[in-house]
Amino acid sequence: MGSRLGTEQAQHGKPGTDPPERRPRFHVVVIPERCKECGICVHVCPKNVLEKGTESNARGYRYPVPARPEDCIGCRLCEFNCPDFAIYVVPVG
Amino acid sequence: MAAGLNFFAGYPITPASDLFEYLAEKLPGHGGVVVQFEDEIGSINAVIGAAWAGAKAMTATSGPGFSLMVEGLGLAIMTETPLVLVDVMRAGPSTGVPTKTTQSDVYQVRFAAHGEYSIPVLAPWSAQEAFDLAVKAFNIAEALRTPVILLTDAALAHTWERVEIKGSGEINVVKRRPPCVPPESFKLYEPCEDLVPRMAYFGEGYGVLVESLAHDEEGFYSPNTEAYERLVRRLVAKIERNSHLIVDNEEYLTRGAEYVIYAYGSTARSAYAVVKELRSEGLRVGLFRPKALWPFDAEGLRKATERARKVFVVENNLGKMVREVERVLKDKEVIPINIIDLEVPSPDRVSEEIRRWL
Amino acid sequence: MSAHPLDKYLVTKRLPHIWCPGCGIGVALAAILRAVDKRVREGILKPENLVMVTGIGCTARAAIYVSFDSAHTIHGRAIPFASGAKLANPKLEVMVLGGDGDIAGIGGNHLLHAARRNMDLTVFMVTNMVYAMTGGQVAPTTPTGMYTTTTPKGNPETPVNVIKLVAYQGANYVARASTTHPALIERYAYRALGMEGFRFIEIISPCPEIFGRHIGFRDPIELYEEIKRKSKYKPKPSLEESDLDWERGWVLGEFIERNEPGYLRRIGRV
Repeated sequence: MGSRLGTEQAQHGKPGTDPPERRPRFHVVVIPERCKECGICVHVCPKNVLEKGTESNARGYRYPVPARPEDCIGCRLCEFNCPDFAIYVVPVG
Repeated sequence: MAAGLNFFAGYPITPASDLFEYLAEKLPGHGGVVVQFEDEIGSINAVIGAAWAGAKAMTATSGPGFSLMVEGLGLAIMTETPLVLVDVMRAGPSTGVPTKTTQSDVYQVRFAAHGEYSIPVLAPWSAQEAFDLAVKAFNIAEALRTPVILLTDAALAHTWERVEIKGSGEINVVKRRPPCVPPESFKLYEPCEDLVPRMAYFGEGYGVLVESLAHDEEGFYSPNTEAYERLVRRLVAKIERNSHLIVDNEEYLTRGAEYVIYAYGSTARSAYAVVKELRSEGLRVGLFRPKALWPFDAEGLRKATERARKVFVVENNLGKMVREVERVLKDKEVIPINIIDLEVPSPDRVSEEIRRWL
Repeated sequence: MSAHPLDKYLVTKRLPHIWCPGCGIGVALAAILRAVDKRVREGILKPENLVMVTGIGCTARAAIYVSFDSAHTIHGRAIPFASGAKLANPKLEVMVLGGDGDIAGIGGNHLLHAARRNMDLTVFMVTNMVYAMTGGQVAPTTPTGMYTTTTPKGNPETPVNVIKLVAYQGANYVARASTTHPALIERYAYRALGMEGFRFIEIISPCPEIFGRHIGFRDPIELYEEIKRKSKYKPKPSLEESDLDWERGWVLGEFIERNEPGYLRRIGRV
């Protein structure tokens, strides 16, 4: 639970400091303990939002992080192509 | 049908097809479903699926079909599915003599599935008993959450006799035990004190998992010795420790008898006549007829043969149940009377064989 | 914060599931559950009436992860089990999930007759072209010439065309999707769950650990791209285009859509 919230906060950016057109419109939420580092989400994202992370989960897999959450267009290709129910996208607000 | 059967799936096979055809005519009129599947494997699996959808389900077959159903039977045992499987024995091995009788499969029904388990097997000897034990088979299946085998043979299947059919109000019909906790806390394989788990089925919101893999009390795959041992010991004990609900013997003149004949099913009819015949000659002989072959009622047999010097085990096979009798009655002289006969061995033949030893 | 939108259909304490990194089964299951969820929210399906029946194999493990009623039965026999359940309680919406070996190999006879009966089931067959759970033996859909552990000199057989087999028996709905095209899986599953009769959806899937290894690469992304390249989508392809050919590729789409009465309607149990 804790790490999931941590990931979330990382992709919010600092509220109030981004110009309106750069504020993220979608939360990309990763569930680290479910990830198996297949890399498909990073590969299919059309906007290059995701990057393979440096932190490992308990099984040793390095889960992705949304490095550029403000670029996410909410296509949910990461969510649909993830075999592990480990990533999903919800609109902000 | 009197027991509440409402689903039958089967495949034609001599000599069980008559049962199937009767149900195909009558059961739909009582709101039941009868379907012919593409083979026996489909049939047994359909019966199991139907039971999990809440039906009282049954199939009927003979030796070759039973052989095909064995894996499915194992699934029913592992998942603790109530159902009745009628096996009408016919001469084998393989295609054998489809229209003629035998008692050769009494071990197959108990031991054919792989793995550790026990299973009730009932063996009627008359048309009336076929009715009564069919009702009992359903009751045992529901009470112990297990498949039950009703074992008859070709000769019995073709026997015409008067049967007193009790109305549904006069028969005790047992229902499966429902959960007594809400879905969040319910465990599909958690036993009650009698080692039998309660049963929820599809469509009730319990999220049941019917699981063929060895599992824990929730049905989750548990490939560790501790959970596995707990499971298989319980599957066996569930039947063996509840054998009082299953075993039942007819004892005809066995009290104080010097000679006891052990016989079952159609062959017991001839043995019964032989008891009468020998008694009329002054011999103290009795008949011990188990109505349930499995679990084997060692205690009942021992009591009935307390005074006996010789125990004759009369079977229409090359010696099967006699092994159990020998195992249990180590201090008695147990004599196998194996008569291979495509019809029921006649009383004369049985008498002739037994007299060799008197 | 919210949970994964499909968590309500999953036994989350049993996750992560056993499927390998990059395996398509999880993608297929997710797409199917999204379709189920849509039908539930429309009021067409009730969660307590959902049943998923599986046999044995990698795909079959799905039964363990779904939170609604399910059955993990024996190899090849999910279809008759499912038929029995549906016949006994017509209110149930019964789905079958299985691999190509389970459904079209050992289970082939049941598949054929259930399709012929137009039995009211939705069958999802995940085709990964190998018996993966047991280590990589040849499967009914394995491409000709391919190495497997039981055809070490190359598979001498031609892959089975299950689309044609099911279509020719008179099934109401026959489609093929791929886990590289999850939106198609969801769309076809959604459509199937609103119909009656026999509905069959083949779902091509990468199997990086076993199949990928057999053909020379194991990287999930490489195999994903290979499968994606070979999958050509056509909205309403004809059966003549339905062969599974590793060299030439295969066609995704809805091959058959009929509205014949399902088996339960034919026997008066609707």
